[in-house]
Amino acid sequence: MAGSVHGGTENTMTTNALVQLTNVGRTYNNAAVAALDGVSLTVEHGEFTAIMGPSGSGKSTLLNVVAGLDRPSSGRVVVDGIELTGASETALARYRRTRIGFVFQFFNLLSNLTVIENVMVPAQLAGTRPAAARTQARQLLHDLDIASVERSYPQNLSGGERQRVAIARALINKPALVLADEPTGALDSRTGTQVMELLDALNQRGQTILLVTHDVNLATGHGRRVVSLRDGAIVDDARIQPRRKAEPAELVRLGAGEL
Amino acid sequence: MGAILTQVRAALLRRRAQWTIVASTTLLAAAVATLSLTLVVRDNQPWDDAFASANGPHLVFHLDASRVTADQLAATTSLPGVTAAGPVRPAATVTFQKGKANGPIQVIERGNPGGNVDRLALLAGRWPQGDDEMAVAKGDPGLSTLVPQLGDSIQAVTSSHTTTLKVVGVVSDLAAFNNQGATMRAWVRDGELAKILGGSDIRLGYEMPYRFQHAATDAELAADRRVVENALPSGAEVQAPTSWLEMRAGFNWLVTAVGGIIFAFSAFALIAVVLVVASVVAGMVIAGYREFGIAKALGFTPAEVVAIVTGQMAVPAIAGSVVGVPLGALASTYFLGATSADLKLPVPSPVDPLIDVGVLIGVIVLVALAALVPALQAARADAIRAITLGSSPRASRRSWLGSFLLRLGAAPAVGLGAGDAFARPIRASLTVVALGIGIATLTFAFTFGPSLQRVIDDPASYGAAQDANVVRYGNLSDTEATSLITADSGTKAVIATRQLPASVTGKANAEPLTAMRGDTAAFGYRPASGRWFSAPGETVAGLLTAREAHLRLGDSVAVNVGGHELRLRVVGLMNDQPNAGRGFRVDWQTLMGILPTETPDVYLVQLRAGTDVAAYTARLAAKSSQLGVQEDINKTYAQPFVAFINVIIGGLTLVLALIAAAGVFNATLLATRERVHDIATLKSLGMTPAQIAAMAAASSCVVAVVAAMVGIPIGVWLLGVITATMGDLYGFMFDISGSLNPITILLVIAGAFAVALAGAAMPARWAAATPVAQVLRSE
Amino acid sequence: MSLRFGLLGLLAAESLHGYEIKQRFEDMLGGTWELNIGSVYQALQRLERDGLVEPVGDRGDRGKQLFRATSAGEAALAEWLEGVDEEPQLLREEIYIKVVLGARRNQNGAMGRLLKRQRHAYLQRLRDLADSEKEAQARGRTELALLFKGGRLHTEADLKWLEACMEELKTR
Repeated sequence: MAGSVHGGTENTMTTNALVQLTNVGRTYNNAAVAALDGVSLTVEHGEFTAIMGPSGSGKSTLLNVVAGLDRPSSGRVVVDGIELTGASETALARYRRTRIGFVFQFFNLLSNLTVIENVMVPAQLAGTRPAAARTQARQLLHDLDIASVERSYPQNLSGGERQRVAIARALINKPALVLADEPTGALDSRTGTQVMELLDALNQRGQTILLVTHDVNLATGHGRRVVSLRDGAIVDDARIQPRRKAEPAELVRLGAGEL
Repeated sequence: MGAILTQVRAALLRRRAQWTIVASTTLLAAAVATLSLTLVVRDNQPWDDAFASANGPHLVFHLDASRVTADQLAATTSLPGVTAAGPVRPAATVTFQKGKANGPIQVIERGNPGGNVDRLALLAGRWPQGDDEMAVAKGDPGLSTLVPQLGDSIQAVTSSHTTTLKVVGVVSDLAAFNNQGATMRAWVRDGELAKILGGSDIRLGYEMPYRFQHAATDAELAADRRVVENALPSGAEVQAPTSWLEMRAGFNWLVTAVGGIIFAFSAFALIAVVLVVASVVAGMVIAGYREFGIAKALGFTPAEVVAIVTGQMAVPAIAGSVVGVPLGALASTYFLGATSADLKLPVPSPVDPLIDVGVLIGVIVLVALAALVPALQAARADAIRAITLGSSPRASRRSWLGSFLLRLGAAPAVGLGAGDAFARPIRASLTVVALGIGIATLTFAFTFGPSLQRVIDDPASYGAAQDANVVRYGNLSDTEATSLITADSGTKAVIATRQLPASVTGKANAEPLTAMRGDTAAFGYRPASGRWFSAPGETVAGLLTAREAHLRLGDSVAVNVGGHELRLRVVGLMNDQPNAGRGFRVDWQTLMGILPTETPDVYLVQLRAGTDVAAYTARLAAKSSQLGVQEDINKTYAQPFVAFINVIIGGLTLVLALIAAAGVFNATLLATRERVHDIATLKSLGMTPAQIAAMAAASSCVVAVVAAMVGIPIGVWLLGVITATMGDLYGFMFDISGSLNPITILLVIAGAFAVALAGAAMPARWAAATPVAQVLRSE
Repeated sequence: MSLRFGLLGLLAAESLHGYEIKQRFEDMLGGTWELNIGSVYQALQRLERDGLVEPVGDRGDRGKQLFRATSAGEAALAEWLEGVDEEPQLLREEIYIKVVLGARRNQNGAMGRLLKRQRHAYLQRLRDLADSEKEAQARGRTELALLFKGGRLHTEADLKWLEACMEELKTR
């Protein structure tokens, strides 16, 4: 797969940020419930950022706002140079098609389409000719090591295979941003590890990834940044250094030298 | 019981869409069913009531006063089987004139409207008592241009003199229709006829009404007739007696005609409702599968689950029927009222408890039965599986159609929608058939109306090629009459005719034999099948006559005209509308072969283009008082009839289209609700709301196409059946071969799409507004 | 206790001299427990005093003296191996005391800032431990991986405790 990352065409900011949230708020029931409260966040191209928080912290809402699936009550959202605030449903749908790739906890594959047909859907929505879409889909399935199940139906695949199909689907339109929402939540730990390794590999080739999770291990285990949400607000934004190759004794001490 | 009711109530409150569909479709079906049954049963009611109160005559004999005496007739009162008869009444057919209009009226002497048999009811005015007074039957402008009103003075015109008579009363005439078509009758006091006829050569006749013990069927009447005829001298009858069954059929012909159509449509409507309800219930069961499992786990028995499901359907069905039945009864009053007004009888109550309650119960039972099969499935739900799986297992079908379309490059919304159309085959099939029924009626509507119109627009095809009819009376000779007619500049062509009764061996009633002189083919007369006669001995038979006598093209038939045997060969069959589909048309020479002294008395005239018919008739009538000139009204009468039929068919088609749309609405609603997860996924992948709606709509369009393939053939079949039935009843055959042309098919398919999209519109919009976030985070 | 019985366990398997014991022990624990040779000899002395180990062969150079477990030692080892650890939970006392003290002081939100920095340190540690665990697995050192996992889980717990403290601080 080519390593280029799809970039935005308009730069409304002085920075080259991919995602720019400015003071975004999302309330329900006439401001009685605030799912997001004054969230400002910048994500650069090529980052692998984890958004972490317990349930009710607003991380799902944040994800939905970035994807254009939810409209903020206040503030501004710009992704890949596109102003999402105030855009119409149709415009948001079109934006999602080409700029965002989704990977969900429960895969959300279409059960009456085969694997390859599932992967082709976003391409066809974007107007790609079926033949070209098919070729692209095949390549992705091959890259993800699931070329053999091209004609199977999702129900007949294992969880890990389904998630790979979902990843292929997410990548077919070479999106600027991949949004992963608890991608390992429905998988056993070994398969989950494999999926996360896939995402790591993608990020190494330049794909910007936004991971949403409640699991601190998942959040710290990949990428370089952990944004913590609590009650709709960002309470922490920590940089993580990967592969620090620390000495074991720096990390763990058994006993305290006692006899 | 209480637990069941609670469940039913709760379900109804939540599932508003379902019970709205069931209530509205049962309302429509109940209304149409009530309408048709009420008409069928009550159609003849007003006439029957009037006949009974008038002690109407089962047979009215028309006799020649020169061949039989009043005493001989009076003696027949005591014949076996005769319950009442008489009195003997002198009668004669005289030409009357009112202003420019003229026409024949049968004048009968009668002292008073009462009596033992054949009483008459006065609609207005009084019975004639003095000189020059007459009471006329209520006329129908659709049947004659001569319609005397109360207070009019009209002229009785004979070869010797003219008598002016004043209309002092209007009578309701049950015998307005007889086997010779419509006849206008009038009554004068005893002795008045001699004055009117004077020295003219109009033949005097006698009218004698009879009532019999057994007179319910044609066969019994034929037997009764033979009994009387055997007691009379031969040749005493001028024409076949009028039977009360003919009178009755003639009176109610319009309602009978539409009644048949309404009946067929109501049967279809009931079938469609059954299909829609079955689909609704099936969907309900699938959607509520988990809840039924829980209900069973809580302790509801399978029987109780069935009760809950059918209860949910029964409540809206009752609501729909309770409103629909009175609506149908109300609608029937329009039709019943039409005939009642003529008879000045109160409109019979459209409320027939047997019918109304019957339809109510029947529709509810049908709905319950339709709900039963899916309900049994709910009862069989495995509690554990239902709770854990959450929904009834849905096989994922390889949507070859969807893949095919996507491969072709169709928009993903269309491809996905089309592929999903048959995801649940049973539900899809039910919807296809329900929509197919709607399309069948649409096909019928688009083909029947135009076919009928085509026929009406071609009067030559049904014996109405002439623009005017001229009747010769008195001692004006044929030659004189012909020259008078041809001399007028407005005359383009003339066919001279003479009509005589011809009795067909083995048949009770005589058929009219019409001998025609002139170039009939050039005039425009055409048969519906076979060819027009071209030599003596050949005949073109009316369709009704041919059917009753089992005559086909090429057959020979023996008839007796005026005592002479005549052998005819059937070379053609025609829609003989002026003769109510009956009779034989022959060449003039055929008649000359047996009755050489007969001369034509009715002249069919075609006018030159641009000639004013009214001026023409006035002009010609002025040339001789012995010419009765009348515009041919067959054409003008036909158009409103066609319009009326089209309105009825249009209304019924709309009803069925609504039921079909309800079926599509239900199917689309269920499908989009079941696919809500996929819809949310597609939205997250970037499908716009418009595309989601298009997906739902595409699904219904596929159903529409399949339904059209089912419905159009059914519609064509329906067209065949109904036109054949109308043909049988009225001897009127239409050529429907050209009715299903590509344009009609396109129109029907467009209509099918319109209905399907109308039904799918709202659920499609609701689907487009699916809230994505929460749906995607759950499994 | 773990040192004493850890050494005993090694000596029950084979006879070793002092330096070897230190090497083996450190390797076994992947470097997470650095021993100085003095502690080893001290422990050995105590074990010998208690009759749980005995020297092998003639007593000679201390550096080269082999030791092995006695039968009493093996019995004691067996008994220890089957014993349930009922020691109280060891908590990291430094941060706790800071929290307790600082809660009273908390000038200019200094405590809050400290806790945040501590949190970052824990997050980084989680990453490091995860990386190390992965590497140990890859090298086939599954018991070492288990150790790192243990470290990770404890860090997770510390993180949660820290967050609880931060919550508590907010409400004051």
